[in-house]
Amino acid sequence: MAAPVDSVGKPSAERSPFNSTSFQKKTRSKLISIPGTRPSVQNGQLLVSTGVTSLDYLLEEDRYDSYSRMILKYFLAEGVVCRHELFVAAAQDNPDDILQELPAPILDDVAIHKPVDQPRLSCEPQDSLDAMKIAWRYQNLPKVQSALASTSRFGHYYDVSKTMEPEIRQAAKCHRFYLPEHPTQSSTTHSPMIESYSALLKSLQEVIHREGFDIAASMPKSRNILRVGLHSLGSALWGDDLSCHDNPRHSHALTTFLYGLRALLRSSLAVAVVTVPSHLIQDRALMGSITRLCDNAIALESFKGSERETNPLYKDYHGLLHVHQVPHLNCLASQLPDHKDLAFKLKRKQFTIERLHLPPDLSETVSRVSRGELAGATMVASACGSGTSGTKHLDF
Amino acid sequence: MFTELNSILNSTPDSFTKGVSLAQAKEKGQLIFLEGLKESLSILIPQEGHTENQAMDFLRDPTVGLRSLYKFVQSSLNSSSSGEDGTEEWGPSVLLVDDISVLLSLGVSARAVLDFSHYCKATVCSQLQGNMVMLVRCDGEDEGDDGDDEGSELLLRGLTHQCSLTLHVQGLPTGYCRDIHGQVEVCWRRRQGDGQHTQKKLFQYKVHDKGASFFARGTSSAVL
Repeated sequence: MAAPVDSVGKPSAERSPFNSTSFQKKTRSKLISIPGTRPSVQNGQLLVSTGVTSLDYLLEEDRYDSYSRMILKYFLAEGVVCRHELFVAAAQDNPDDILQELPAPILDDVAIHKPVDQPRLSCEPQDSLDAMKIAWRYQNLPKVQSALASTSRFGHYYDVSKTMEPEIRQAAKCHRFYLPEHPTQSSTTHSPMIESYSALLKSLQEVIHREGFDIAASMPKSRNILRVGLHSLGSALWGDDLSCHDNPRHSHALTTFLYGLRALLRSSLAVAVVTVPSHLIQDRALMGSITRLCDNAIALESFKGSERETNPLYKDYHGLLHVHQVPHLNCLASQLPDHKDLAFKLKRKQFTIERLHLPPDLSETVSRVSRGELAGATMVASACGSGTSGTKHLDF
Repeated sequence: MFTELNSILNSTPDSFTKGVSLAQAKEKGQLIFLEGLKESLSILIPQEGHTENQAMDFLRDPTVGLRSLYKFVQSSLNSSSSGEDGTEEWGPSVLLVDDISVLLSLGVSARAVLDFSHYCKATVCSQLQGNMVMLVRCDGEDEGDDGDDEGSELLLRGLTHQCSLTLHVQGLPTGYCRDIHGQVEVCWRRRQGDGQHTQKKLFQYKVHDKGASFFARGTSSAVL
């Protein structure tokens, strides 16, 4: 019974502004809308401060593309919950497979109408009664539907151990681009963009135009946002040799595509998240160009398989998150995060991003340092640990 | 807005009008704005019936260079400075390019960009007695021995050599700081006597919502 509540909330003391599931408006608070990688919903609210709804987000994949896929799914799931339209493009995996693996939204907080920044666990008896109802309501689909429709919240929580119910997912309109389904014609121009990217750009433009996402379009119906998820651009799966060769023949295919994508997004009510296997791209200067062509750029560095996996400093986390670029649209000063050391972890039900902090010193043996790199960490820890050495458990 | 920068550069505008309406300027023909991003789509996604701006022709084939772009600049400047009856006489022209490194990302060679810059300088500075301002990006970080980085290096060196004033903006060597966003090195190249005289000064800056403030190293208001 308590499990769903725990996974939803965090103690307010520890609450970091970077919750991967809450898409904060860039304008509203000091919180950077970087819930990990592909943050933020470009709502109408964004129009107020920047004048542009359309940003694109670059996510540099972690080595095995496990966490970056997860964040892509979060981004799409948020789109489903907010009733946005989706556009998913992939070269290897069928977009339908990606869509079926979206995490399930936790809708209890929507039903309770709690404000975002209050701590989840309240000591009022009424709330505990509601807390008991959470898991129960979760099963109740018709109520879920009405909760979805009425939500105007900005950001939701998800349970990654469950997949989204098909009924919820099918309520959202999804457009797919699966590369094998689009036979590539030989291009007649000498454009640096390769055929697969050209086809993708053209398909995206058609969807934007047809569904009325152009900012200039005069559609009478209410406007909506198109969320674009592009998986693994720059990889060999798209026919790009950027990640295969040191001197690729198509060295400017991806950058030209990103330029065109930016042009598309700027003139439409859409936001895009692009994942790129940057660890395969050797050319750092090219990676720099790619980063600069996007509004937001975030890199995920997973600890899997690296020597950091066993470093006790990082034992609470699964990887690091680096912010490479923040948007600076229509303003001189961009919002920079206060803290640059960010790490992420995937718990059983939730993916979170936090400031990197040292794990608490609970062990007696920490003071015996075997590795030089731990010296710095334990120096700090031993100062507070010395008083508790000899006790295994600390009571607060 | 940039009072400190003005004093650093020893330039004070004669008259300082508060508030400039770019939209009005554009209507009057004083401002000619080529928004490359917007014009690029019609070339990147070819469609019938859509007119393309020839200035962006290099997108179709970057190897042909930037001749069309230069022609656009030349014709825009010549038409606005001709001063036909009824139109106002504007002052010296200013060409602003933001940002020229994007052209490298789109496949144009550094050589072609340098040629473009040289031709523009001949037209804007020598012929029309105007000014040219270009934004170029460089990755100061570890340059590998891969060939691609040579492009932006070559461009930076070439442009620095061509121009009389360089502002080299970079982050602090010690890393990110909230109160001091970075440092700017101002470099003047003047012809004195036989050779060239280069003067350099280093400042730090902080960007605000409405501008940026510049100060000597170590004199940030956060520190003092």
